[in-house]
Amino acid sequence: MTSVREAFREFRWFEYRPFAWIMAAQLVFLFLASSLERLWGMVSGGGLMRIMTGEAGVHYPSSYIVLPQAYSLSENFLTLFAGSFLIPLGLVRIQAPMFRTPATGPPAVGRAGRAYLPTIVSAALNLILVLGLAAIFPLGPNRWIHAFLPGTPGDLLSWTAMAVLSYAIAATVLYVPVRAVDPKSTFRYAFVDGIREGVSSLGPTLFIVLLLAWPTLVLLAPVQLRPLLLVRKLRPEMIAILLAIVAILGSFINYLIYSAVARMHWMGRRTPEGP
Amino acid sequence: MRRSISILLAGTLVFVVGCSDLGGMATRYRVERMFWQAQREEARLRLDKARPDSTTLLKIHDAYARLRATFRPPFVKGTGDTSTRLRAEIARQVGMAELTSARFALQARRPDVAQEQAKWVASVAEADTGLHREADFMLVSTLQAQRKPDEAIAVMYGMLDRYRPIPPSGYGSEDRILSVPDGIIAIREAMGDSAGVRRERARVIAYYRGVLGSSPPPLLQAQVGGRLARMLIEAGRPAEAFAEVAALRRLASATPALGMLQPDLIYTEARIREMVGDEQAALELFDLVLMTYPDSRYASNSLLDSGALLERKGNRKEALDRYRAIYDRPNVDPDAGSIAAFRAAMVNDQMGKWVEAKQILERIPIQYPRSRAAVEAPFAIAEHYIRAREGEATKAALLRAVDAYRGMIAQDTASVYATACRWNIVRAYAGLQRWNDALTAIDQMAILDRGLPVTAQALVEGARISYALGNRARSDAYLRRLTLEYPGTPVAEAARQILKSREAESGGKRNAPK
Repeated sequence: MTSVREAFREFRWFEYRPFAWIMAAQLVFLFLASSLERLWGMVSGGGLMRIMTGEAGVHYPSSYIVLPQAYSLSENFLTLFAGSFLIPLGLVRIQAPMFRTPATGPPAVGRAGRAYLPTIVSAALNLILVLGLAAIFPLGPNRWIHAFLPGTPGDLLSWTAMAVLSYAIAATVLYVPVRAVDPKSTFRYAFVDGIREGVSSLGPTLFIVLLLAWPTLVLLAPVQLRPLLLVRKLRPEMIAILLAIVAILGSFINYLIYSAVARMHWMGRRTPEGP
Repeated sequence: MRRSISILLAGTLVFVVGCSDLGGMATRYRVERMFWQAQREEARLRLDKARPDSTTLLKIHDAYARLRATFRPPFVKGTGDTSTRLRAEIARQVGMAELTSARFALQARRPDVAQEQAKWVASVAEADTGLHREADFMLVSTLQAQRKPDEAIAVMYGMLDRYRPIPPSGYGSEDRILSVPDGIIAIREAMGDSAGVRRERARVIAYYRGVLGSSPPPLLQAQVGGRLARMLIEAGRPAEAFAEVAALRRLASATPALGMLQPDLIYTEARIREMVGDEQAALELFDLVLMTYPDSRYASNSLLDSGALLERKGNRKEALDRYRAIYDRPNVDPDAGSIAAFRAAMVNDQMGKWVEAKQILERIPIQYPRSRAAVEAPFAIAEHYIRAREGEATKAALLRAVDAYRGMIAQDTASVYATACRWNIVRAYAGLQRWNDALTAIDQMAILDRGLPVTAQALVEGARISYALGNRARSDAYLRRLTLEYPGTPVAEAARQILKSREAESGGKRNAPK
């Protein structure tokens, strides 16, 4: 709780900026995908939507029904390739006052660059595990949940369980970029020890993640569970608006989670253990 | 450097060519969005309005008509395959919106507007046969609403010539084009043109034989064969109908997928047996349908036909049980249900149970407002009192009948039964000796039901009533209208003779010495 409180209290725009760039890319994607009625929108957003979701992505209102799926893909893509540099860069800036290391300039960028490999590997591992879980979940737990709780409550419970498990997987790899930006970090120290630290601190880390991420879960639930209902009862464009809110909120939450985890790691580092 | 410029130019060209299709896709997206918005507008305007008024209907009409006003043909420029496909997709979307708009114009009693819209859709449909067909169906509806039955029938025959029936995916589905022949006959029946009905039946039989002659796939063959057999029965040609059923039976035994055809075949054979006078065999076959396929749509028809057969044989009680079994069903077929209820009322009346009969007759216009039985029921009550010589009850029944008919017309002014309702109003006022009201109703028919044989009959009635009331000028006006609007009909010839004799009579009076 102390690390969460500190993360909130010590929020700095300068530290958050790398996370904002990912958010900006997500918002640009949502804007383009919501502008398919214009030529430039169809050229850019339409092209991406067609690659990610097929022909349904360039028709109205089906483009909004498949938008959560496309958004999720774009988010994974951005986290994997851009996030593997930008998240460590943000962590370098967050950790600078703790370790009295430079927050800007070539040394800071160099540390973020060196963290790219372990971070992208951990992000890819996270993605593979979550996709594997998504493939297995409907065959087992989803059926069991619906057996005793059918209909919408069952859908909601099943979706929540899946989200919590995904967050648990994410929590185990959260320490990899945190360790990867250490000045003397190695791949083994960042990746293997990072996952080991993630597993050993799973309880408190998952608590932090859930404590901070629940508002996005609340917003994402209707978008992912009942996109058709939103399209029919409200407006298809509502899905894009909700996803934009999720992107903005998620970006801040990601910053706060990494900030809190970095502080937890820093507190643990005060016992002699580093490379 | 030159190579770089060439690559850049080629890239730009590819981009521009690509963008032209993407421009079409963006247009298609805008069309889809506007169509969706129109649907949303419709849902919003319909909210809490079970029967929207004309203003609401025209607002919905305008929402759908916006697509045609915004997107002009040819919708997408370019000549490539993608451009052609996009153009067809946009034309279909705009065309469907325009036809939806036309449907609302029709409901708002603007068939002229709907007709223009249907013709426009046909003009943009190009090679899209599906859209063309929909436009033609709408055109037929608009012509019917404008009381132009002959033009409607001409369009329907044009459709039969142009569109070959599409083989169905399963026995449950059927191409709408196969219902067109029945529609043609229904129009002639509604006109009261029995000679026309016979003529159309012969033409329709030839059409069905033509389709069967083109060796269609088994499912389509079965559907057309079934329709042909029924049409032959209605045309009073049992031997040919029987041959058709035998051919269908051979087809069904050779095609396992046609097992669903069995109730249809048994029912048709039962009707043929009945027609040739083998009533016992017919009853057994009707019962076989009821026992073997109780949920099929032929079960209701079997109950109805066997009920009528038993009624003819004098077995009223069993006939009544069968009629009741139809209209007491949870999901009653309105066609069979309305006839069964009417027949049940008649049987009850014959059995001396007038109270039950009257209750059933009074319920029919409420339960089945769009049926022939609903038109007949109010008058059947009055006729009972006429037969019973109960003057006051007859008057009250006739007044109630007028109210019922007015209610039915108000519910659906474009109904095929609206003419019959108006004619029954004339008959009711004549029965009540309210001559001026009867003449007003005849004047309405002359305008709203112009061209129909029953209207000619109404004009004769108008001429007769006016003459009896001493209003010879009005009587002559009716007769003149008959000669002008119904030339070539026997009543027009008679009217011409009467007018001639009256003129001679008045001329003689003028020349006569005082």
